[in-house]
Amino acid sequence: MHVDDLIEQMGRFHEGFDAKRAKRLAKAFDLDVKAKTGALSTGYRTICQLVLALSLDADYLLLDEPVLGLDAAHRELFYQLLMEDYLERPRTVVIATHLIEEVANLVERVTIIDEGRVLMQASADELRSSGYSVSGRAADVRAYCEGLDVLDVDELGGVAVAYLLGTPDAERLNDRLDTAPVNLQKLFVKLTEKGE
Amino acid sequence: MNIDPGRDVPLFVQIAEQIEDDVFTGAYAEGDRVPSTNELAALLGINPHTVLKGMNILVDEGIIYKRRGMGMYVQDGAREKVRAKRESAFDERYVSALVAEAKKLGLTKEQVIDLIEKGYDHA
Repeated sequence: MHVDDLIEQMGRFHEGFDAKRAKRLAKAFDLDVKAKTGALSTGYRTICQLVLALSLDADYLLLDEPVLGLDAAHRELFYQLLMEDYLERPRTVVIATHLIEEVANLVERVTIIDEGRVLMQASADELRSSGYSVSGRAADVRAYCEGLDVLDVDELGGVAVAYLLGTPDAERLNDRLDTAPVNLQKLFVKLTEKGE
Repeated sequence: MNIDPGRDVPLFVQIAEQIEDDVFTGAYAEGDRVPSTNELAALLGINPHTVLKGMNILVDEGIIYKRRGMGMYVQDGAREKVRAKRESAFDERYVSALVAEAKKLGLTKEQVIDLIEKGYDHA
């Protein structure tokens, strides 16, 4: 079966399938519609599925690791097309992925799940402001952390970085300590490491 | 428009700040149309809710307003509003930091004033 056959078949199964759109999207991804589906690389097999998914007018779109095997350019393109599609025709899109940083700004709500439990559920902005890091000499960092909600402390050679929930405590901070925001991936890793 | 998720400032605030800055510099003149929520969302790859949150800050402050069916436009008098806002923030943002650092360095008030005077004359 060739990709264009597949596109035609989809149209027969799904009333709301837009074949023209699918062909247009395939072109955007450099997906050869004349290619045999079985001969596609892993990446292009994924792209083929994404093209079909974006051409369906389902009210709910569930994407499970949609960009695995895609290079950076194709990942960017997919997010862009997904966003444009969403803006044109709002529907509920759920993306399951471990690529937090890439997807966080795209979505309205991020839910962090670990071993079947919801660890956190908030917007990307709220998640980013839910924690911070404090770094400096190990002794200073430990003094700062006393009694606070610490996720983890990385220490090496007398220098330490502590990851905490909440917002920096201005009274405890001093010149020798540095605070910084925690990126979402780090936050996720530290949250799940702690097993909270 | 430069939005950086790594910064300490939430995305929606960054969006508001950027548009505000564009109004201040005159990149958007009063009466000009500013990009719509959807246009910015598509351009930046940021969820439209977040963008809208940022735009609403500016609407509340009277910097931009919505024209039904047409989009968001820069309010008359917006530039002056932004200027006044930045002027009152000037002390907290720049002067306090300047004085704190000067004191750390052990500079006297006179030395700081001297430096500022030189800065004004040479800039």
